[in-house]
Amino acid sequence: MPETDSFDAFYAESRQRLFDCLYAVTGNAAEAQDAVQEAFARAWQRWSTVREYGDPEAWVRTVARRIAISRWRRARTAVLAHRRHGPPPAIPGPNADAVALVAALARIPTPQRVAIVLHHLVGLPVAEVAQETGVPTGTVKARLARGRRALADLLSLDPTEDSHV
Amino acid sequence: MSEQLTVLFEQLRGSQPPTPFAPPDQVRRRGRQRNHRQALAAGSAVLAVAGLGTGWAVGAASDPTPPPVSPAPPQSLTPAPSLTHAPPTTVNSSRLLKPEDFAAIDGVEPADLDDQGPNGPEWPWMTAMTYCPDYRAADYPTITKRHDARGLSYSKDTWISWEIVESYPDAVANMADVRRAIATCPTYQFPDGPEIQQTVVAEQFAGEDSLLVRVKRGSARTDYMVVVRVGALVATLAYMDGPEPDARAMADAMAARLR
Repeated sequence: MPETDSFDAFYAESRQRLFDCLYAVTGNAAEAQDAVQEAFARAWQRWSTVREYGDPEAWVRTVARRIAISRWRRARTAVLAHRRHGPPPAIPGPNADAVALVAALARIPTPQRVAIVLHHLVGLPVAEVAQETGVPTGTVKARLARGRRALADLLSLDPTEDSHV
Repeated sequence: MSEQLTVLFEQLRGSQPPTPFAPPDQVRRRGRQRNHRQALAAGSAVLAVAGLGTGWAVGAASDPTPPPVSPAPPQSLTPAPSLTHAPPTTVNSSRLLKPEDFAAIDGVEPADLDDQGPNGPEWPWMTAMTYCPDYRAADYPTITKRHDARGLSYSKDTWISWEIVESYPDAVANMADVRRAIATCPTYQFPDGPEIQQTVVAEQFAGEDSLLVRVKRGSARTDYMVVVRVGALVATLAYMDGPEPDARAMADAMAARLR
């Protein structure tokens, strides 16, 4: 398959999943969309290499998360703007629960949020979350447990319901 | 609760982005523009240096091979006063690390830094200072006098690093500002993030002055900041995840690129 065709097919097939993931991680739809687009542009720059990876989508997802984190790192202006104007408005969603979930995710620590999103939204097993975030599996389990407890409080879920990783 | 979360996340799937997804040809064009910008940046550096007549040897813009690195002269631990107050120096792309400089990591790929301001990348310590309650801009007088700066990020799979090279009218004073920043803010915390500790673990081991700073991010990760000064240029490398000997070894490559 020519490079353009394989890239276009990959883009069409994975862009929505990657946007969902970045939106959940950043809590900001515009930021998520731009980080995903930028990550795809970088993927195209080296597509002959990236396409050979076992999981090109994981590569783009990691790059997109790094772009978003890099922006947070340099986000003093955004922090000040947040203080001035309040948080960015949630995107119009068909479901109030989804909006509430994104708002709750934004209130838990970033490492817990990333672990929760990769596990529950992307569907990665704990071992793959550990590999993608560069921490031991025990750390991922702890982050998932703490993140779920925090979300349970914020979303009034039943914390006694059996949970597993 | 896990199942309840799974149901909630199901409802998040398929969220509409603020604008429709760009068509694939537009994404590919953005990728090509990134390549073009990188080539253009290398070319404009050549023109700028030629215009200033500084005589630095740099590669032609159309030549993708990195310029040869001059053999590093014997290291001197004594600052060279004649160079520290040199005329304003433009930072050209040949001063930045090349992938082959990362001896411990094969296949590093360079890319533009994200979110550079109109004056190039910000002072490398600004993020730390932003979250340090004891930071006072007036305590770091050289920052506003910076003449030029340029940076790149470097990545391999999930590993990422970045370098920023800056030129200052008084680079010795800038190194003093860096030391003061670390001494003033040995610990700080991002909102909702772990406590970050930064400690100077080595000094004056490369170039005309240098620092190796260990940055512990909670218990999860230890990164290193490598700072090297040669003449009017100060290079700062954020080397993620260590190990310390690998980070320290980068200083010689940084110094060689600055000479």
